[in-house]
Amino acid sequence: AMQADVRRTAYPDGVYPPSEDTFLLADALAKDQADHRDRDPDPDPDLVLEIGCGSGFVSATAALLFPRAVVVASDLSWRACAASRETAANHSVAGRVDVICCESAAGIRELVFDAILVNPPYVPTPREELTRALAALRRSRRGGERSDAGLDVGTALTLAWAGGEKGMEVTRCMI
Amino acid sequence: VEAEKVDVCECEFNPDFLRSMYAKLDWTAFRETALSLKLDELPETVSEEMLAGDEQFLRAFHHILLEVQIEEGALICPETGRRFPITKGIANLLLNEDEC
Repeated sequence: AMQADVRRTAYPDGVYPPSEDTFLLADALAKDQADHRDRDPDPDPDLVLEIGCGSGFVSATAALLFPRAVVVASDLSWRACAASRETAANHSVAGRVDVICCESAAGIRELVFDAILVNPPYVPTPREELTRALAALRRSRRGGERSDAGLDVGTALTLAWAGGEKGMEVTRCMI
Repeated sequence: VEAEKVDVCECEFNPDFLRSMYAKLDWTAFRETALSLKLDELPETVSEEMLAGDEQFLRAFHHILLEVQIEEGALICPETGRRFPITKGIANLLLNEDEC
C-alpha cells in the first residue's frame, strides 16, 4: 500500500502539518483497504470525501491507495486548499483530487460518498476560542470574493485543532 | 458554470468507475454544466446499454468527468445568482460575513 510522502507534502505557515494523527488516519485507511480486499469482490471506494484536508497528505494518500477513485478534499482555509492542491500535484494525483474551500461539507451537494475521511479539530478549548476563530474567518471574507490572504496564520492554525467544549463541538456538527 | 481557463489532464479510462459515478450523478445537471462549457457530446438520457458498452459515449463521459478541469472561472447558484469563484482549480464556497 502506498502513502503520501511527507517530503512532497506542502504545509506552509498556517496549515496543519502532517502529524501523528494524520499518519494514524492514513494507516487506518490502508488497513481498512486490506480488510476490504480480503472480503469484498469490489473493495475500493470510487468516491472519497475528506473534510479538513489541511496539507493534503491524507487526500493524496487516498488517491494513491485507490488508483481509480476521485477524492474530494475540502477545507475552510484557503491556504490549506492551495497546499492540498500542491501536495496532490507533487504526487501526480492532481487530476483525481478535487479541492474545495468550504466549511465542513457545506458546499457539497448530497452526493453518495463511498468513504468519508475526517481528522477533525478535537482539542478541548473554551467555546469562545472556537467562535472567535470562526468569526475571524468570516470577517476575513468581508467585501471580497477572493480569500487568498484572508486569515492570519494564528487563527488558521487554531481552526485546525480547536474543538470547543470537550473537543467535540466540531465533530458533533459534522455528525 | 463560467470558465475562463480550462485545463485538460489525461486520466486513465475506467468504465467501471464511470458506471459507479453515473449512479451518483444528477445527469441533467452534469450535462448542463458540460453544455455551459461548450461541451455538447453528452446525450440527454443514458441507457443501460450505453453504460454497458457504448465506447464513444463512455469516452466522452470520461473526458468530461475526469479530464476537463476548470482552473479559473466560477460556479453560479441557479437560484440566487451568487458567484462562487474558482481560482487555481479550487472552488471557493465560503460565505461572506454578511451571508452567514
